[in-house]
Amino acid sequence: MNRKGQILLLAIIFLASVLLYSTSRLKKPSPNFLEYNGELQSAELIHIARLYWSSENSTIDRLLTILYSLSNENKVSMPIVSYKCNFTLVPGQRGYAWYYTVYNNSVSFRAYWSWEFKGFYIKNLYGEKLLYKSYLLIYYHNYTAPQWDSMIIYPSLDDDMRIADLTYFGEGIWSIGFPARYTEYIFVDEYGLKVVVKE
Amino acid sequence: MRALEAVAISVIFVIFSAYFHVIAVYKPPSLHVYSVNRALAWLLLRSDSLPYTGKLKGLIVELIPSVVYFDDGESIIYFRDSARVYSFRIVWLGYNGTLSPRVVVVGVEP
Repeated sequence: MNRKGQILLLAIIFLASVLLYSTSRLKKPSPNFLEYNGELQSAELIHIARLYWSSENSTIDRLLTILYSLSNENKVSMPIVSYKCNFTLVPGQRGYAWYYTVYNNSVSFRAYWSWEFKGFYIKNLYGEKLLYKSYLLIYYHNYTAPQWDSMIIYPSLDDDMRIADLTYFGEGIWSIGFPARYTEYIFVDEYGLKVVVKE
Repeated sequence: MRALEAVAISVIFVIFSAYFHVIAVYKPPSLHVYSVNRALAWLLLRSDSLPYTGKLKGLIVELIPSVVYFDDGESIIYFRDSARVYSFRIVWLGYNGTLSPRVVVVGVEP
């Protein structure tokens, strides 16, 4: 190889090195990963808990089995979890209750409500005067997960019997009223959970 | 000698081209995976009934501008063409106490 050829070869090697180095510097750094286990997986577990408490027929084990089966079929990564469930209701003129599900990966679902008796009033219902009891009700859901810490939402409430009074003040605070002859009244939230007010 | 120079130059050029191609074309998944995961998680937390009431599609388009296609388990809707699509799957098991499993697939352009 003559001198000119050697110099040309060196120049090409140098040019290629400079271009490659420039290209590598221009590329933006991005994280590289195989599988992301995050908010969606925690949301699936919250969804399971919500569906369980709104259902009369399904157990959490059955719902988790279906979720794992569908996740495996569709290549969705879902962690295997264990759980604890608890329903508590403390009746009275000032009572409270909750549905609670907690998983062993720090994901939890809680639907909490409390009520306080405020007094009586008369309501004209279909031409008949009825004595109603009035309560102040606080109702909210609390979803916790490592990805978002704690999230509070205020689901809407409904009355299936269409005889109760429901007024929403915001921030999960409701004024409710139902016929005084009932010692227990059941409302339903937008997810199908039963909200029981019991004296 | 000229031939040797030509071969040497060609070899250098081929190595350069291959390495340049790998750097330019291959890119690891970008941060959109995190943002799409969060958006889909929010939809699942917001409502159990979205795929059953037909409201999911509109919310997906609103929250994920780079959506390429949407499959709610009954029909597939394509919003645009794309050479590179990442698919995300969400499992809805039902709502209001009723079990009705459905897998929703959302294709997103990175």
